[in-house]
Amino acid sequence: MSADTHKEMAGLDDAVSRAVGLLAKARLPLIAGLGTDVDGVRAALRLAHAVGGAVDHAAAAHVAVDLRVAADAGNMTTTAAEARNRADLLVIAGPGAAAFVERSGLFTVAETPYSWRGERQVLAIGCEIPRAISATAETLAIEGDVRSILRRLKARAGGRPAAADAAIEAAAAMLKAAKFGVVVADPEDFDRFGLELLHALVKELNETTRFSTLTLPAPHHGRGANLVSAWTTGARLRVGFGRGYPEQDDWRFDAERLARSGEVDALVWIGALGPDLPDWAADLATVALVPAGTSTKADVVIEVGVPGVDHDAVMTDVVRDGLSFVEASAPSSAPRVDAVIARIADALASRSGGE
Amino acid sequence: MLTLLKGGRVVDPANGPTAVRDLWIRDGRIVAGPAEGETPDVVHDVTGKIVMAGAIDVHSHIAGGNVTMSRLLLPDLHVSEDPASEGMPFGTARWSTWETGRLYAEMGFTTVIEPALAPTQAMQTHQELADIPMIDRGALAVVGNDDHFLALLREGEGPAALRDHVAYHLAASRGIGIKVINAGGPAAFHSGLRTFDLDDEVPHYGATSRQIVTALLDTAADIGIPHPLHIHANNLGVPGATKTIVDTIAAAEGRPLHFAHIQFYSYGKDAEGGMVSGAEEVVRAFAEAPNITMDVGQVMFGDTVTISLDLMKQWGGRGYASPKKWMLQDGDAEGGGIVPLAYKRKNWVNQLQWAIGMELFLLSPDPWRMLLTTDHPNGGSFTTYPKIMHLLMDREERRAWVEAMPQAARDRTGIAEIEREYTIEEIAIMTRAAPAKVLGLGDRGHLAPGATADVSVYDDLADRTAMFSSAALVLKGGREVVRGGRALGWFSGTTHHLAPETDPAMRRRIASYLDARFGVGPAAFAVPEAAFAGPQPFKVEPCLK
Repeated sequence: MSADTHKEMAGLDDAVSRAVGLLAKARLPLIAGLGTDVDGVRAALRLAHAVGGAVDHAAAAHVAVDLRVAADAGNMTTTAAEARNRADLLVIAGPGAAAFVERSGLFTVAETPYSWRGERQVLAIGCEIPRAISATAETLAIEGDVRSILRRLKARAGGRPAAADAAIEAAAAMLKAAKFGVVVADPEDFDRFGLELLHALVKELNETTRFSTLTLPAPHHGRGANLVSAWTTGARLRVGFGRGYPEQDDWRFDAERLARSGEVDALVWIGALGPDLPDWAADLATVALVPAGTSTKADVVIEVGVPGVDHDAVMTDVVRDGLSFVEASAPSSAPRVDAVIARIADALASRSGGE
Repeated sequence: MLTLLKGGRVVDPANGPTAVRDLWIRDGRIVAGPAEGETPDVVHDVTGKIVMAGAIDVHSHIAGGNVTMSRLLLPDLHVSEDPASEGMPFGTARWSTWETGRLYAEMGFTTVIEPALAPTQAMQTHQELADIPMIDRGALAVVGNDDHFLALLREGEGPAALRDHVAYHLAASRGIGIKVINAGGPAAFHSGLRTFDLDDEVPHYGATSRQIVTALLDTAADIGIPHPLHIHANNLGVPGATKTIVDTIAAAEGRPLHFAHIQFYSYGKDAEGGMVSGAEEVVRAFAEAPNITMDVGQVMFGDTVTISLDLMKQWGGRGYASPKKWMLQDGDAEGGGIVPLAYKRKNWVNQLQWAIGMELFLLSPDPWRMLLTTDHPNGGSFTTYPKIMHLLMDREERRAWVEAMPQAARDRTGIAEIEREYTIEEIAIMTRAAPAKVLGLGDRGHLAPGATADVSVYDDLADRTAMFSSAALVLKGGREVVRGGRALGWFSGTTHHLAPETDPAMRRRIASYLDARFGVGPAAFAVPEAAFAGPQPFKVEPCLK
């Protein structure tokens, strides 16, 4: 072990003991941000169980819109690879989706294992046609508010009267003619009623053809965090453990609301995969687990490794829509989130055991 | 360490008649007895109690993307309301992996197989399995509906290529066997078809369901997979599906084949096309085909959710969703469909489903080949197993249920005429020895010297439901994990899987296919040991060749 590593370890011991001191005094601790890998989320949920805390993730729209609609009404979804390979019609619904298509390059590949697909048609609603789509045949863009266009499209696709112009009529015809259409949407562009409408349109189109959706993955490993919560607690985030068992409640365990209302009096912020501390954390006693070099104003700052960079990690992979093992791209001795949280939890347990 | 289970009634039909005797365990294995003059380190007095091998479930949806998808769809189905026991976080979190392991163990189950390991989602399935405590696990790799396999069939590539493809995915996903789901049906559904039968062709591939099944039967034999090909046949839930089963049994031509949740196919048709029990027809074909094994998929009443990779069936069943919401994912091969259901006592179709499951158990001539499942959670929760065993062992208990059936259901099943009662030995075969045999796990399911010391001890109660709900004592690998029906603390079991040889040329082909299809290579789908913190969860089981 090098002298530097010894110094790092001593620094970590000190930070962990200050974090424990802070959490031991808390009546209701909050664990939020939760930008971490599968093992980090596991550890965070264990700590929350031990201290009776609440857990939330930074990807609020993902929880409040995407997963809420899934639980309210169900949905039809597909994978990124199926959207890219099978879809003969791509519906880009809103500016967030358009930006994702440009950024991800998901549709820049023309080739497909499904030789029968042919060229793609593209319908953009509430945004421009993204450039990063190859093998494009017919395109149609309808400008305006994506939700209002969706309402009219749903009415026309269902044969019901609506204030429809030629563009809406043409778009409705494209939807119905597709053999396997995929709507790409960003939950940030919708409230939950708008997204539910979108899923209702897709379900209805499946009465006569095949259609599905691809919603943007939540940032900061939000998708993965919710999966781990679902199998560990039986439910997605947000969850609270105040009663010794997990309770799922989007409103009660909303981190920002808990902080602003003063219900919580301590915060463990996990930002290994971003983001940095939000403004609402300013008045809370805070332990921040953030990557090295982050200028974070918190009572206790613990520098942690970035999953997949500093250390190996299991995370959801956006391109292939599933959990993958990601080898460290620049291995370092920076501690893992799960190791730090486990140390805090162990120290808390021995402290309460000693009292 | 030497452990003695003293004076129990040992029910171990794989090795001999039931007898009151001592059972000795040394360092996690059953042994014949102590060395001369040796005294045991631990003695459990189990006088008057029933001692059996730990129970084994061959088909229970306990982990993976679709199970978690159903958790996301249905936060309302399970609501937690009990604080966890000390040292057992999440143990009372309803529908969590932790609760699943605890509940299985408390019933005396020690090994459970997840039947739908999608190779592209293998990492998630294994992460969830690793979080199911108390029991050993395994999973069946789902094959036969993915584009690469179907393209091999279309191009007329020979059996060697098909074998190499399947061996690759079985090894990469760490399955303990292979399963095919409505062979060709999900692929056909992606292309817009809404029904699919044994001789229908998958659009764009030209292969029929029969060809896929036949190819996989050959492949399973060629790789030497101990568990027979596990089939979710075509036409699940369709009146008249009995014919599909009879035809599929014939298509196996004597090769080993395991039919999953056969109750859901044992539906005949009356003159008007209405649903009647087809259990007798299915059992007739089953009795004549010793190569065939089945699990029942018993329906029990209550709210549940159906989780299936059979997209076509789930699409067809969406109208029955209760509550009225459902999910359907077009995945990279099958995907998944989640439809919540309520099996109601007042619904004659649900009652008929219950009766058909019972008929299958009771008409089956061979407990070694007809296994207990509810296709958890599709027919009902695995926590109903004790009640099912009770109904099978006690005709008076069953009579009360039959008499409560609506006439419309009673007219369509022969259940009321069946007097048979399962013996405790038959229960032990059906839930222990037979599932171990059908999975190729020779070290369990029985209590011969050398076997893994997975042992369940029960109070011998007339109320079989109470008896099997709450094991008096459970040893997992010789270690005491349950006492008085309560788990004693978290303990990590093992995930068993096969590791067949893979062909280097096929590895290269699949790598380039994955890269073209996903834009990422095989590493993105791999399940390395490094992905699991702490002691690694895996144990490799041998192939037959």
